[in-house]
Amino acid sequence: MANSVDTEKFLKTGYQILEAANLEPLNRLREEFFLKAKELVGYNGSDLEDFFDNFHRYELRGSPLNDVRMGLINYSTKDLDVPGAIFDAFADPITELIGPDIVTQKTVNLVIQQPGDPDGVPTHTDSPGNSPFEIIVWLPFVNVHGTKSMYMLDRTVSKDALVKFKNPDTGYLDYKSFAETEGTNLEVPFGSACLFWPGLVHGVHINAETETRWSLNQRYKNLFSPIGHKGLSEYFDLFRLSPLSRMALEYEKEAYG
Amino acid sequence: MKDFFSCPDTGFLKYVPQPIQHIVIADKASKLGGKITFYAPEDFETLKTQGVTRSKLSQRPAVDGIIFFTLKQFCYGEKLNFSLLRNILDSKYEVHFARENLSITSSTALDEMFPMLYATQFVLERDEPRESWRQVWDALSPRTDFDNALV
Repeated sequence: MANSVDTEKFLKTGYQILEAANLEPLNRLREEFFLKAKELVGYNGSDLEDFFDNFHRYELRGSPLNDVRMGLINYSTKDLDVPGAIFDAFADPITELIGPDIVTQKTVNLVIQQPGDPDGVPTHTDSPGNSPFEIIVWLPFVNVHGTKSMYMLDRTVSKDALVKFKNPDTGYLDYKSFAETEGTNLEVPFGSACLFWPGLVHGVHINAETETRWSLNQRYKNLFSPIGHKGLSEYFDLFRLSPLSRMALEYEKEAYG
Repeated sequence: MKDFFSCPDTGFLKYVPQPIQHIVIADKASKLGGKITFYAPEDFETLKTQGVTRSKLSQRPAVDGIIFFTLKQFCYGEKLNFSLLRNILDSKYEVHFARENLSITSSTALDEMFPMLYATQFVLERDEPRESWRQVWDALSPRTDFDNALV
């Protein structure tokens, strides 16, 4: 698996599964989530993979599950450098796709998808709510395959899916059914991530595997790119500036007092 | 407990009425461990200059800071009103934005935030359809070319 963007493939599909150039920041990040999650559910063991994969043994559903998820989201947003760790692992492809002046989403998104849990994210595209100029890094903390993963439609098939909305009565159900049938369940080992364009249709099946999925999704976009419906300062923090932009902004600032 | 002065966005009332802005701003105050003690919105006539805010500032209100509904309130003029932000901070008041969940508590932090503030204003000005803000722009600076385009 590569760590650089295959331009032709990316333009055709709108996504690519890439291997981390450096696994260390991802290992550290996963360990930090593990330590906090252990504390939240009262686990005393040390087997990280067993804990994540078999998290469903705690039989948390609904509100108690959401409390753990929100506890981890609040902790990781406040105390961990999630955007930095993911960027360190995928710096070259992210920079190649969006350039060196980068903003990243403020709040960490964590998904815990247990076997049989019907509360999965519906079939959707991120754009036009999100800017089509963003790249989403979907990073599982466990090895994912089959329905433990998410399904993705490439650019062509996504267009076909969106046509299904034409019928006002059955549009969404037609669209969902088409996407669930035509989507590809991504096979992504821990240490790799799927980088995808927000215009792609994607979603999850009910997890029919025997293990729980843990995954993060982190958005990056160029500081000066169009914002979609989500405002720059509302949803994003500054992450990186090129030396030229730094210089230019210092120059501009002089005119602002 | 901290006390804050609230400044709702008059230019955005059509989309988010003042009572809802009050709720959001009060929530921000609460998360900062404080409460709103009074509020003063701009008039349409002062959206550009933020004259009401300047006037309040000169009265040296007994608060810890000002909570604005949105950063956009500093973008109604020709360019981002960066100097007013600096003045507020230099006057030893904190600045918070409810919609963006942003806090600026020092001049140094303001300098660090300049790229985001600059880009926010630049992108808004470049990309937002002028028609969506017609009510506000008409009150601020009627543009002949824009008006003619609609005839």
